[in-house]
Formats: sequence, structure tokens, C-alpha cells
Amino acid sequence: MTPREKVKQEMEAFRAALPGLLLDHGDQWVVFIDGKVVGFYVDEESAYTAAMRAFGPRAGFVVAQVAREKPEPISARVLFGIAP
Amino acid sequence: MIHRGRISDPPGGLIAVGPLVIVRFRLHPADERLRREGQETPADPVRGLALVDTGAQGTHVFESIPERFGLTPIRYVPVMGESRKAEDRPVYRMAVVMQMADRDGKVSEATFAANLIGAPSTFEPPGSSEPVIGLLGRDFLSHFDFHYHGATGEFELVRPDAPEARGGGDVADGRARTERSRKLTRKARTKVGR
Repeated sequence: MTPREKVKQEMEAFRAALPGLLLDHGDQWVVFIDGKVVGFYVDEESAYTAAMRAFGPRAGFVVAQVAREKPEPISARVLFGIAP
Repeated sequence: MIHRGRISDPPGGLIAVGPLVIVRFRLHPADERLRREGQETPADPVRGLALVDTGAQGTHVFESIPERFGLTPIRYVPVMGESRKAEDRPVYRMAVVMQMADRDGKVSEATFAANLIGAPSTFEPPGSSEPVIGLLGRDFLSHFDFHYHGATGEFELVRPDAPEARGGGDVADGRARTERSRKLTRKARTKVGR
């Protein structure tokens, strides 16, 4: 499995864990790897730096905020149905 | 700190092309440090044009660039494209470098840590000699005051509260103050002809 594929897999696991995490850790940042949270952080930079130090750049960890996901339009034009 | 851009043939040039900034995409400093510690030589930064897009929430980069750096995404986000269906796109923790001038007019490079969403393609604005490889969205613009002078074809990205020594910051914590921006010089420029 490539690191990219691993991130994809970890992302799915993170999404599955998200409802539970939202109960106590809303808005916090997490490092998520091997199907579990390995650290909570107050901001993304702290989470990313800690993950890089602990696991290295190709480990396939996820750094994400404990928050409900909302699809993001590439550009406002998309909202109007105009090709970007 | 200020970056001033100018698109030729105003006002049509700015209408057709949009506010383009010459940037360099590079590894995040933490990533670069680790690679050097591991005796690995990080790839050179990639220079190119980025379009300031106030209609975009996030900042995007042509995906071949993080791939060239050998980067692994840090997560995936659902992005809505032309089809209006959400599609997972990779997010890369990287850095965006742009030239900015300080109060004394001294031009230096400012580095901004940024989350960049991988985009599957580039595009070429009308009249531009090179493709646009990035979109600077509202998360990136949270660093700046953005002044858009449609009639003259000029625009400015102003970051008056930047630490002078570092010149940059993080997308998540960037805030600007308009009052101080007027005191800044206008030396750092991007000029793009049609």
C-alpha cells in the first residue's frame, strides 16, 4: 500500500470515528494513524509538526480537525452551476 | 509587508486574466528540516503563477507539484467541482513563498505555511504566457488585506502585522489590519502582460 492509499484508508477510519470524537473533542486537531487517534492538539500546526517528528513524512497519518465535514466548492462559480 | 501586482492593459487585462501572483511552492519547513536531518536533499521549490480567487474557500495547487516533492497528503477533503458532486481531494501541508516589500522598500521572500488542495489540472488565462498552477483562496487571503484597483489593473496583498524577520505566517492565524497597511511601501510587484 502506498502512503497515499494509507492516508485514504486512515481518512475513512477517521470519518467513521468522527461522531464519537465530536462528543468530547469538538474543534480540536488530531493525529490519526493505524485506525486510532494518537494525539489531540489545539491547532493544526502543532498536530502536523508532532506527527512529522513521531512518524516521518511518508507514514500515512491523517491530520484533521474534529468537525463535521462540509463539501467545499472549488470556486463560487460552482455554486451558480457555471463551469470553473 | 506588501506585494503589489499589476496586469497590463487595464481595465480589460485584469478582467480577462485576474489578479495573478508569482509564487513558489515548496516543502513545509518541518518537512524540509526532517528530510535534511535524514540526509535527503529536498526538491527545489516550483515557481509559477497563482490566481487570487476570492470565490474559492481553499487554496489549490496543481497536484503534480506535491507529487514532484514526494509528498503524502495529510487528509482528504470533499470538494465540489463542475459536476456539483462532492469528490475527495488530497490536502498537502506545504509552504507558499511570495515576494513582499517591508516598510523601507526592501524586498524579501515571505513564506506562508498552507494547506493546499490538489487540483487535477492547470489552466491558461487568456493572454497569459504560462499556466496558472495554483489558486490562492480565502484561507490564504486571511493573512492579508487585499486591495483591488480594477481601473488601473493593480492589486495589493498587504500583511502589516507580519514579523519582519520571518515575513510569513500560517494560514490559520493570519490577520491583517487595514490602518497600518497604508503606511507600507509598494515595491514588491508582479507584472503580468496580456
